[in-house]
Amino acid sequence: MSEILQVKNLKKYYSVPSGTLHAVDDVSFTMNYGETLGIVGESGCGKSTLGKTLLRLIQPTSGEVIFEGQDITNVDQKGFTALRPKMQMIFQDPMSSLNPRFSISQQIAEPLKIYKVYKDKEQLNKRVLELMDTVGLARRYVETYPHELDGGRRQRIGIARALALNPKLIVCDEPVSALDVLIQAQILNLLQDLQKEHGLSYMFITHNLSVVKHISDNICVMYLGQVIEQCRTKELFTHTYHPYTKALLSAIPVPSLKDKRERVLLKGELTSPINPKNACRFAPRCLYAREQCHNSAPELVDLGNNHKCACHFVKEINGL
Amino acid sequence: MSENVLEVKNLIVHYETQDGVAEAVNDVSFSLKAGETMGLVGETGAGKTTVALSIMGLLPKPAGHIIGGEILLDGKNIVETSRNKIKQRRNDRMMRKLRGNDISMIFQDPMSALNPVMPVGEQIAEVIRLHNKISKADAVKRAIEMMELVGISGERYSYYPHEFSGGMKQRIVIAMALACNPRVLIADEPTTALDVTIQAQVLDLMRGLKKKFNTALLMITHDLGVVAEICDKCAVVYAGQIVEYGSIEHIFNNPQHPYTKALFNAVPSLDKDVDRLESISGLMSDPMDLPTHCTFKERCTACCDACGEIDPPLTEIEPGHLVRCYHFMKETDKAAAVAGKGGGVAK
Amino acid sequence: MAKLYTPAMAKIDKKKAKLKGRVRKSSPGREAWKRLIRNKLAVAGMIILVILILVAVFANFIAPDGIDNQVLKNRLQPPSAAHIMGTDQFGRDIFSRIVYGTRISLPIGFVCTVLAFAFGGILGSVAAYNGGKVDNVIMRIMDIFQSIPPLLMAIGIAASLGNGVLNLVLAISLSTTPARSRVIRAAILTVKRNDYIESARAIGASSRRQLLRYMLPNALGPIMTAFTFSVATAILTVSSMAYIGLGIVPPTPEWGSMLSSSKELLRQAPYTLYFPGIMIMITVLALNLFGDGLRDALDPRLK
Repeated sequence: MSEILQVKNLKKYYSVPSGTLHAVDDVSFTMNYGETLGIVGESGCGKSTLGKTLLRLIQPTSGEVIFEGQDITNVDQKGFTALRPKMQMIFQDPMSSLNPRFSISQQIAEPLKIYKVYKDKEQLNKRVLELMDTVGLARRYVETYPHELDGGRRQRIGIARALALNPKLIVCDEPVSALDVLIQAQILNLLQDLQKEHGLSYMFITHNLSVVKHISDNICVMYLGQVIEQCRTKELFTHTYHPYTKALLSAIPVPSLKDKRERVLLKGELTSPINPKNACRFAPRCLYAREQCHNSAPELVDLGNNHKCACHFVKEINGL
Repeated sequence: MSENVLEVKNLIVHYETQDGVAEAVNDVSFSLKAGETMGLVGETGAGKTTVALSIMGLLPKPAGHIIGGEILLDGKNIVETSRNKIKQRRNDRMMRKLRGNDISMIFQDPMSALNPVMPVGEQIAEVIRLHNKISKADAVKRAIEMMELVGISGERYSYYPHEFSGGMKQRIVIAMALACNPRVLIADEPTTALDVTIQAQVLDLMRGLKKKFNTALLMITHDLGVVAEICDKCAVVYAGQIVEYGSIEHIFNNPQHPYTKALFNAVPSLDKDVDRLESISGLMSDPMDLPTHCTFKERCTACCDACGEIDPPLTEIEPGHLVRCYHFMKETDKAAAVAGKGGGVAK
Repeated sequence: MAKLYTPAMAKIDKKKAKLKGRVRKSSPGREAWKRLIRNKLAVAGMIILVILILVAVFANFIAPDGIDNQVLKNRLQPPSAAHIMGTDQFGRDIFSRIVYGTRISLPIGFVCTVLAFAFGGILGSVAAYNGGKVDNVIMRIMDIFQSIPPLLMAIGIAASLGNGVLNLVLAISLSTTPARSRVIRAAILTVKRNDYIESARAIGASSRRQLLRYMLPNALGPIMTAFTFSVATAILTVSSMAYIGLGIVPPTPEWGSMLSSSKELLRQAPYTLYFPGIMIMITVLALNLFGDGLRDALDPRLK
């Protein structure tokens, strides 16, 4: 068994005053042990909701989540408490995701205390210091508070805390978006090192395609609650099929003056998926949209090489 | 040779708080011609925004002080370094007239720049009427023109800010900033809060407008990619100092300062595959407690003994390309600095 | 270029040199304390409160006379060396009664507020934590009670229960409970929006732990500020009720009741009114100054 996580037809709908918001709509994917799955998309595409639904911070509307062969969708809160140590999360904003009244040692010890891992206080402290070493936090910070540290160090605390219970899967929700490039590089390196060392699987949620390319083995591109393209990372960057992914790729400002990519400028902006019609959700902004796109929703089709894409005219556009 | 519209000379800005003095900007100089775009690149806390606020005369009171230097707008100094209250007030009055008319600024968060209870069109018209003696009808006409120019239909004149998405709001802010045809536009991370596809649209718009209005644009960003998209020249800022300055060809094709190089290496590339990103250790120095001499030396891979003893000046290594690093100093300067050490340096 | 050295920096350097060698460790609480003691008005309020508490504790050493020592031949004497605040219509030393009065007003004000916050705290935090229907039901009931003016409600409760300190305390704390539950609910709702609550859930913290270790400690700032102001209000309420003869009755030296019993003497012996009135004013003012300082210290965004 090589899959750590299987997600089947996961849906999360919210009812809002103007109808039903399809935050996550029929998302399916699998994740392998020790691999990183990148979830890319713009704000409001449901990528964070997806991550939180997996960890049951949000209750899914329907669908199945199978973690290590066990369907965890219908496990009650108590049963889930037993699963939590295996699935952890790293948050985007390390300042607001840390309790300002806890010192660093308290932050890192918290999960260990909740799960009563150590009876002995000395052992607990030893483990906290070990974890600080693991994530590269100098031991002299042990009694400081989050507001006294910089963003990079705060994010290291978040990582140490996620690691405390020896998880197998970590959902990283934009863990480097709030950081400067040099710190971002340090944290990305740290995450990679930890993955090798502890055999972790990451679900890496970000809007930054260059970061996701660097760290992921597989990528799902999301648009308005749906996965529109999904394949191995290398494959995605050599054969980009979906018009949205193409636009997304071309929109990234590249820090180089050589080989400027041709820019595909999209019209309009992301809307919210409230009461979506049976149509391609990208059609209003798509350069290739035709009548069929506005009348029926495309299925996610395997184009070979395990490369899936949801577009009616994908073959035509890419000359396949 | 065309005139410099904006010239910043040896700008020094401190924030004086109860916990200490933060040396936010230490000796920053650059110049901008009409129609030219300069990128000010650096990490959080490097002093980029402080430079912008100093130019706008909007340093947070009472902590922020311009300690020294000059900012010349069309050759006229707009900085008052004296702490004399009357002089300060006179300068404030002058700055109020200049802001919005001769220099405008776009902020990262468009929401903070818009009044939530006033239709966007009216907000643009108000700016126009504030600085020009024209009738209300003319101001409305001009506001609608500006909206069309940034790609928003004039029919949405009486819409409120919350009825627009983030990218649209930023367009309106741009329209507002350009409404009086300013000589200098300062954009402080204008696209950081936007999604990439929207960022591309806004950058495209700014590039077009800049050409049309021939405005000098100071682009503050942490994203080297944005600089490559829109700028003509670029200054890399570290701990309140410009460490490398030159045209974007200089900076992107031939980066020389160790910090600039580190910045380039730390960005994951879309073209190359690397297993590990190169990153330098450590953090930017606390502006409350800057190291003496080279501020980058503690994180620098090329650091040598002399870096802790000499203040490196910005040295021209090729025409128009300046680097602030001991290793690029001229031998004569090095000798002079060593000779002057002990007596000549104030601290 | 040489580094610039400004006078402001020299001043700071001196300060730094003085602090050199001391370990700097600052929890959010410690930082708030530092901000608090920088605020001169708050410190003044704090000093007055400390003095008042000391007076209450050592009342029997400070007061030259008992609370009800009637010496009729000494009636209505103006302030003098023997009676520094004069005597009242029964010849009692006003200063002694004022001193003993601190033993009434301060503790009653404090206990009333503690009880109001305990009741209100439970209701407010349950409402805020659960949200939805629970929140709606609790808060609508509170709304109904809040539509009655608290003083009126306190008078009603006290009148139906009869006089006595215990009944008074119950009356005041119950009548202010709805308002306090709102304060606590609002404080917790603000904190609840933070990511660290979600991250606490992600590491498996129980509801109880989330509420007690994450939400309440972080909501403490606004709650403490409201608490200080509430003590002031409670002291005023006690005095107001005593003034109309409810709750605390003579000869107990409650300031409000002292005011009440000497109201006919306004022309004849105004000092019998001055001193209890001034004491109420000083106490409430001190609490309000301290509360203001506390709010600024605990919420640095307001600076």
